[in-house]
Amino acid sequence: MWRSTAWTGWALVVGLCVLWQLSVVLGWVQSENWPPLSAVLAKIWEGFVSGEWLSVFGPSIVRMLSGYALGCALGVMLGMLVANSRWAKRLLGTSIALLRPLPVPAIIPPLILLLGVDDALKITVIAFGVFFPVFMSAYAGVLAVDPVHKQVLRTFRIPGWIALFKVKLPTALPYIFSGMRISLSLALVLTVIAEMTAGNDGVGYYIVSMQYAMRAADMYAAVILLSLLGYVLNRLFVVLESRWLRWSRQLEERK
Amino acid sequence: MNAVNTSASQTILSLQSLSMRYGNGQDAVQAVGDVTLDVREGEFLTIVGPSGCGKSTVLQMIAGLMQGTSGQVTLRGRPVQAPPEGLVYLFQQYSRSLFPWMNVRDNVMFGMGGQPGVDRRQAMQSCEEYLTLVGLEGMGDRFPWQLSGGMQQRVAIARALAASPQVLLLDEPFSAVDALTRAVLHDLVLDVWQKRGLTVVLVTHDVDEAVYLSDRIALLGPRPSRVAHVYDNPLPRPRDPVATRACPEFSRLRGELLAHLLGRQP
Repeated sequence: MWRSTAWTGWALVVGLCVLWQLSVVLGWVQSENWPPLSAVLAKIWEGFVSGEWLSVFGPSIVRMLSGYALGCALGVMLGMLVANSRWAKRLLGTSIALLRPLPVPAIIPPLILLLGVDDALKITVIAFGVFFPVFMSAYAGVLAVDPVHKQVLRTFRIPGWIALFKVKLPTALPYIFSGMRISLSLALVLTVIAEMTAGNDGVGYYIVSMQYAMRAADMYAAVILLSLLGYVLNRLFVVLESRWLRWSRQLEERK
Repeated sequence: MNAVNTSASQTILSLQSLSMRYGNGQDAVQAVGDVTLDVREGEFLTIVGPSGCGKSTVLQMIAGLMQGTSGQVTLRGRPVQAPPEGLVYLFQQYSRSLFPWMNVRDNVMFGMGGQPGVDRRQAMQSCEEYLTLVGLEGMGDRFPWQLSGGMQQRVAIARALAASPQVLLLDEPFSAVDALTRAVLHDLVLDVWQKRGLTVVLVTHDVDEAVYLSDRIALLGPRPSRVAHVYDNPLPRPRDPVATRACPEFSRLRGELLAHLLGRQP
């Protein structure tokens, strides 16, 4: 399905790009803030040659992946803990239910007072946002253990920790992956928001600076690269996911 | 070979006035009425009954997977309150009971999971032995979804054996496979039962199967069930899928059981 529509999908993208270029060249839109696509592409190329993009995107990617890893790890661990232990659910359930609806950008200003404007703040913000989808999916995944499997665990007298790693975690894995996939795009969004709000480097900071400096071509260049980065990360994730969950896909096909 | 496994006639499992009631008050359903039965060490006992008579419930209570409303089960004199050591329950839904993310070897080794201090290399070796015993030698690297229903049931049997049980509880394990596979699995289970000196309690509604496999057959009446009759099976061992069924005793016992189940006077 994806393969057959890919060609037409890309054709539309190319068409819109051509429209953009024509809109400037033919004078349909006349604005300093609307540069021709060719100027933007030239800027992208220059940035790669000079190494500017590395210094702009480098810190953002490091931050994003750190926050993502931290949020995912905490989400998986706490999600499984809360699903496994009535005691943990009683203790943590209310706090998590109260924190979850918070729009993440709202916690940035108070966190600046606590953590400053550097990486500690940004990684915390990203991890905070990433945590909830992963937590919810890990929780749901553990609860999805087949009742027959539960009986198997009982009749073979399998100790709880072995059951956790050999049965509950594998059952939860497809759920966890879908949560992590949602969180991946969320991590990119939060990285840019955090950098726009506080700090002095990274792609979010760069875009805002270029806007203030009225350098539209540089701004669009960064936005286009950001979209490509998100796209590549998502494709990478899908490839990894399908490798790790071969059994799950096979099972789906059987059904 | 002896007609009946007489070498060990000691009671290993004892069911005393087992009953099971679901729900409360007016809506309560008495699934199991009053089941009293002794299982002898080393025997192959089959519980037969009409569908809905609660025979699977009885088996789950023996397994310690379910607690009865009253009465008790004892294994070697000890009351069963949780799944006891040395007793394994083989599920009817074998394809659901295997773990799809583990290959056949890991599924079988999972049966040893409860035993502390098992050396992995030794475990792999005995795993291969169990696979050979159920006719799946060299299939360790396959995944459950790559196997047929009959082969999946063999994996489930190998996994149950890997727990080195003395008692094996079989809950209609052959009901979902085709007739030919069923006949092959019957002989496999008999073979394993004799080689490993197991005590087997089988639950089924298939009279032919009960007569072919068992030493004794306990017939449960309709709900609320109680043991209506226990039949001694005089058919000689080893059983043979063709010769055993040709015995006059086979048809006589089969007829008696069927008549009883259908509610006719024999």
